[in-house]
Amino acid sequence: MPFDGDVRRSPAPTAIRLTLLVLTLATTFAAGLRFLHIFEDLRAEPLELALLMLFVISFSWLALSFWSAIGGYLSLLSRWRAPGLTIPAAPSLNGRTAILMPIYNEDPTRVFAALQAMYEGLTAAGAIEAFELFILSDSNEPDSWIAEEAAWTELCRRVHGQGRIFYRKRRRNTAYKSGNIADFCRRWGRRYDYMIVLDADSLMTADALIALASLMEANPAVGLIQAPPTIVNASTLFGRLQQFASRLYGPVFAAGTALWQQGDGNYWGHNAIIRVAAFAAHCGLPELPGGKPFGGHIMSHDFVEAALLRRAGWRVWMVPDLGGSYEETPPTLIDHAKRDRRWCQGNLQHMRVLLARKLHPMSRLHLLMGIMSYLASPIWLAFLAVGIALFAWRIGHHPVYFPAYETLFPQWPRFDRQVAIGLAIIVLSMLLLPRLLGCVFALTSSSRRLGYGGTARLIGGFLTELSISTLIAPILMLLQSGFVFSIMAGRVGGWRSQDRHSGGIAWTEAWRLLGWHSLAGVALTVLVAHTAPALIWWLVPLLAGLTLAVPIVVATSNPRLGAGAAALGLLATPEETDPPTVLRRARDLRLSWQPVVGAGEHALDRLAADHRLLALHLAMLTHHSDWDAIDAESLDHARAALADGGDTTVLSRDATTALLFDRPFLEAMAAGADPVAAARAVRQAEPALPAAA
Amino acid sequence: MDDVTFTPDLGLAAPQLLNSLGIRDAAEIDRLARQLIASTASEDADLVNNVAVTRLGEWFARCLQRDDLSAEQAFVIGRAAFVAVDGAGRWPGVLLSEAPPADFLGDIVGMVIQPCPPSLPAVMPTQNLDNHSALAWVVRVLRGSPTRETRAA
Repeated sequence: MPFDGDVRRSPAPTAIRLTLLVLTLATTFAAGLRFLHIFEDLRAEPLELALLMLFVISFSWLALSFWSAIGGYLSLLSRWRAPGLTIPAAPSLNGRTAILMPIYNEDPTRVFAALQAMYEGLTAAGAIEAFELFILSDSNEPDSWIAEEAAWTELCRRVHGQGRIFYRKRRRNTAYKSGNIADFCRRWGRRYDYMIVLDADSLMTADALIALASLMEANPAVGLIQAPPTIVNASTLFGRLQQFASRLYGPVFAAGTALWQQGDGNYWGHNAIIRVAAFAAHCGLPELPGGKPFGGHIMSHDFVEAALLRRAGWRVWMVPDLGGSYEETPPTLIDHAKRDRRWCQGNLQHMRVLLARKLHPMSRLHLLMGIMSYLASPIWLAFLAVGIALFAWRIGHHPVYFPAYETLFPQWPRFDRQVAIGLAIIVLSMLLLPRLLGCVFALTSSSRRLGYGGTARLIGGFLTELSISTLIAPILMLLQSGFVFSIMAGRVGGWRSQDRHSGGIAWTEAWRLLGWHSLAGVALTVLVAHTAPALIWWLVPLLAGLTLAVPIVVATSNPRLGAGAAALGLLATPEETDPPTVLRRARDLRLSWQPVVGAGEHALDRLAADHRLLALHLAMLTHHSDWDAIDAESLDHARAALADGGDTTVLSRDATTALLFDRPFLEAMAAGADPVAAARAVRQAEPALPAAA
Repeated sequence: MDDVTFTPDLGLAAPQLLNSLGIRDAAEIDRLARQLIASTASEDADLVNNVAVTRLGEWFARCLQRDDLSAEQAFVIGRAAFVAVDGAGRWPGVLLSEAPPADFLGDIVGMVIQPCPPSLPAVMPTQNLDNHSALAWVVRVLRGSPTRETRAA
């Protein structure tokens, strides 16, 4: 088992939660009182009250995160482990576990290299008999579909996994990933005791997979165990910053979260094991009433599924010290923002679920924390805007020394600079201290230090990450605020696949997407310089970050800068310094998968050139008896488009998909005809439909 | 429901059908085509074709020991396995033979695709995520939905 043996029992959850609550409230109360002292005269009452309110909301959230991280640090130092989860002394694999890899037009080289590496790991560990793999495809790009079929048979061939590695493609990706998993449960749920849900960029060691299954067996009251993933394989500077930050600070935050949530934990959507029977019985998600973006299918299903499991009495745990759980990160800030837009919509949708009946209070807290993680940006933005407005108002208005009522003494306008500076320092400290503790925790062990490339590189990486993330923070704040406003205004975000292997962002593209940030930064600098020059030094990180948004995005997305940093050992992580076997194997395998998945050829051209693949595709169609038919009109249009167009490039995605279902057409290709000749042959054999009236 | 049924009704001649199995040798194609349609005295190309598919399907079903498949399904699945093992290249003349060699049978059975295991369905009841009744009442009032009083009126 991957757990260290030398651990101590952590305090009871109630005591920890009460302590966290008291500390958060007390810190917020004290900070709010101090904040009141800044403006004692309360001349601009509405603005000041608004500022106070925004400050208290933001600060309370910061305080909760801060004290949670402090608890995490103490937990790491004390080697605490919650008493409720039984850790088996040795692996025990009596149950059957399905490893699910849901994919949606993802790069098959990465997916299948990871699957092969994991399968080989389980085989080497002698545990493969307890596991079966499912590739659950929701891909709607025809090229991806054919590439996945080719890769699936090749994977079966390479690891002799026939009958243990399965491929299922859904005709329609109803309810996105949650619908994909639910479809698995409905069709094969009773075959398995547990399912380990992965993401397309997930990778787990055999030890971690075995440990998760063993933990489930040893804890029959547990419905779900989350293994927090570590970010790996980042190549750009932005990716490396994310990777370094999550690796260095992540343990402190994860340990803190695990400490107070214990068996009332959360689910992050992947790299987790789930008891299938419990999930099937209690996690059938309803469609929320109303239209999008708040109604319809639940986008961020994971938090809700954890809440439903908990509502049904199942325990939900996170095991931060499991190890061997990995994922990748978007390579650029733009890709990160695209993902954030979806997550933002999904989390804000939870406002509809937050007050659902009989949810456990901790589940409500998880949902609220998800919502607040996005609302925090517009709240901080509003705080800044009101703060600047207040400053400008004070400068533009002469103070009233003698108000209308009778008084012996003039009322001097008061702005307590010392208190303001003191509060600002407290806020900055609460933001920085958890990170610093993460760094200190790494520095206090020689093996951990070496993992980050040694003391100098660790401190260099820490300072680099701190500097660049400070500049990136206002960009993200503005982006997230924009997302929140657009979602509140009813705009629906799409579900597009992410590019996790960017070649960089061009200047023109960066300007198109973030030029308004730079312009806003310049305008704000001019405004502050004219109206409240004393504030400008306080706002340097914000103003610089916004003004330099375009160059920051271009530079951090540049793979060469990322490679340069890697060559210097800057922002190195233990997984980069000494990669685990499964990571190395998956990386080495990627090249070997490229010829299998093809190089972007049109699906029909690929089938025409490879009669084995075509025969396989036709055979696969016979297994999809539950698919509803392509209607005759769509088929007719697709055949006509190809027959008349004379080339597969004229086909739309839908037309190509229709032809990939068209067995007479595909049989004609199998008999030796090229796609155009096959389309003409079937049109001759089957007359075109009459035009619609 | 799967309405895209297998309909080899394109007027494909038996040689073209054999082509889809990766058989390229003209003499072999001629021999097999004659064998496939030997007893079918018909001018109807579709009928001849169906007979050819059925015979090949039955032969594949025997090789794969899969009596659960229809002849059409056995043909499509058997063909995929046959071309995957390069049956035409590695075992020339094996197609439609009465006693295929054991190594061929072992290989072709090993290459039969099994995209999914037999289904063993579970019921997944939809959960109720309605808000607390008091809150739901407030929402109804704010939205102007009929309250008990207005409904009674």
